Amino acid sequence: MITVEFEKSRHKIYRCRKNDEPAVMVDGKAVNVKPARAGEFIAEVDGQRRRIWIVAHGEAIYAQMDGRAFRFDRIDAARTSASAAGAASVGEALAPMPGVVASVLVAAGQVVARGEALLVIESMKMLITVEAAIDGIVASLPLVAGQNFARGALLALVEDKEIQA
Amino acid sequence: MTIRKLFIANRGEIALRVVRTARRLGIATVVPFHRDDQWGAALCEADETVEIFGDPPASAWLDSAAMIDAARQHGADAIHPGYGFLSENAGFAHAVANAGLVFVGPPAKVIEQMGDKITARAFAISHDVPVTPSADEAIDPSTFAARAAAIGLPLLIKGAAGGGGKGMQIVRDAGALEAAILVARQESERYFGDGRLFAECYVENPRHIEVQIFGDTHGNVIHLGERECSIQRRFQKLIEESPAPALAPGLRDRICAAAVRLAKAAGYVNAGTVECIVAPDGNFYFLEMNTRLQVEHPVTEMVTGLDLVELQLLVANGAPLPLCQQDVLQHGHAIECRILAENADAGFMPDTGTVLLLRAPQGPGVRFDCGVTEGAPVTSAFDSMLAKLIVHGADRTLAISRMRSALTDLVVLGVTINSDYLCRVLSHPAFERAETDTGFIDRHKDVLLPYAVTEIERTLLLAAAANMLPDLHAFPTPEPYASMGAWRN
Repeated sequence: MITVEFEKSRHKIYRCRKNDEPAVMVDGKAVNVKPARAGEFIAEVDGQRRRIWIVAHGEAIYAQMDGRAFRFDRIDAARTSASAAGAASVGEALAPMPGVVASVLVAAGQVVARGEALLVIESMKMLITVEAAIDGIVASLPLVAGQNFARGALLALVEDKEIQA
Repeated sequence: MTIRKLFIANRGEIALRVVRTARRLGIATVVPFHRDDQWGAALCEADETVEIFGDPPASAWLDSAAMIDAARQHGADAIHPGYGFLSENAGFAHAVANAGLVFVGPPAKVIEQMGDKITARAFAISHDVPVTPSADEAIDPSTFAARAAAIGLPLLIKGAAGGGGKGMQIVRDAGALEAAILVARQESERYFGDGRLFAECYVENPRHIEVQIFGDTHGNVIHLGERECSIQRRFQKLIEESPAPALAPGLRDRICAAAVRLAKAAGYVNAGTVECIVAPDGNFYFLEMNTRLQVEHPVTEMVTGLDLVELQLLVANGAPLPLCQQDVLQHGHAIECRILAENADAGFMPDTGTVLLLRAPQGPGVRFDCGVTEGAPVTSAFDSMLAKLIVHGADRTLAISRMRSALTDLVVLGVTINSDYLCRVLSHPAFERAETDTGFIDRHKDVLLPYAVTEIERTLLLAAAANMLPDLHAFPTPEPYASMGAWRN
């Protein structure tokens, strides 16, 4: 049995049989899932049928139903608790999307004020200014202009002046 | 001369689009590729491919000397620039001609005159084509800010050499003018290597109307009708259609006539587009001229039945246009949707990933110009446009209906695309009533949200998704399996 959280509600799912065919039990309803073509499945319950396109890739499952796409990610218990413990500090600027550094406006060790521009990043056609979230000192600036980064990468870390002192 | 082998200085869907027409005409094709971008569909269909180099990868397509060298080494006698990259670079057109190759586009001097917003506007004014009140920085940089402010608010600051919505800033409050000038200059320098600016009166919520122009080397200039491209986000077009709905016939004729007048006066050769805005009061203003094939050219092809790339190659060969204005007939209605790798429900944020599964929509009147194949990585190294979906119908209602079906049938898994969002736009009653202007997306954002999934749909979806998991066992399962699988969307 697995648990799937979908739009904030939790669902318990396990394999079963229905009408002597393999099925999947979701919230007490047995659903027949039959493969059609590559990546395409027909799911049926209570006389309702849908064509659903599914691909599993790494730790994610991508699905599309009636033109709408969904993504499911495995919740890694260990990783979840680790990130909760080391939750992003307030002075940490993480990349909202993958991109490239357009320009770096400050230097490590520099004193910056909240709202001050730290660097400019470019992603697809946008230039986005990354600002300091707090007053402090630039403790880390791991990227240089022209460097690519992935979503979630650390762009800059500003540490509280008091902590540094 | 006759073009026998064509080098396509582009990538993605437009490279494939050009390859298809060239092949049909018996012209061999050469398409460049980068080590990080080997998944383009054009690479499978071209006669020859050639590796180009650059870091970041997109810079390889901007290296005009390398492009010309690659073309010559492969024995090409002509270069098609596509759109973007070097397509509106007069220096490139000039260098191609100097290398003894045919540039499939207008002559360098025409690109210089009409591709520059400032000289193009001056040219429009001198040919009685209306433009919005404006201020040009080059006249006197020291008074630019004051002259811009004198136009009145709201104001648009943009790069003189710009396009595609890049480097544009709207100023609604006099205090924000200085900052907008700085940002616009930075973006302009970055994208176009030219920081010259230009300010103009910002017309709120206009319709974006453009006219497809075609000229030949014999002095003939015709138009192939207009397109409306008002559905935009961040100044970039999302949905285009032809003919423009809700445009009074008299106004349409005046705009098309002005476009032809302008192109004729400029000695325009090959494909070009005259862009205008139409204000809510019915006045129209010349915006700019695009001296190349447009992304949205397929809607014109669908309603006229013509192949614009074929016409481009004919004209580039020195042949006269095979048709005159009276021969251009428009049938029915066509709509194009740009399929972008972005999450429209998260502020149109670009997404990256890998195309794991791709299923093209099919059916009567459906055309899918796609630049990616299964397995293609989608990175931030290139534009987020993966494909274009174009439909045709006897009237706009049929075209909208076909587009909605085609968007629903399009399957791309592995990267977030905007097809579901586009479907919501096409289903909005205001879109159906052709109440389209550039403010549409912002005005209706509160109702362009994803539909709720019904309980039965959720059950079917979860069953199908969970069915993929190797660790989905029959209940009851022994520990530790029961605690192993936890997933969320």
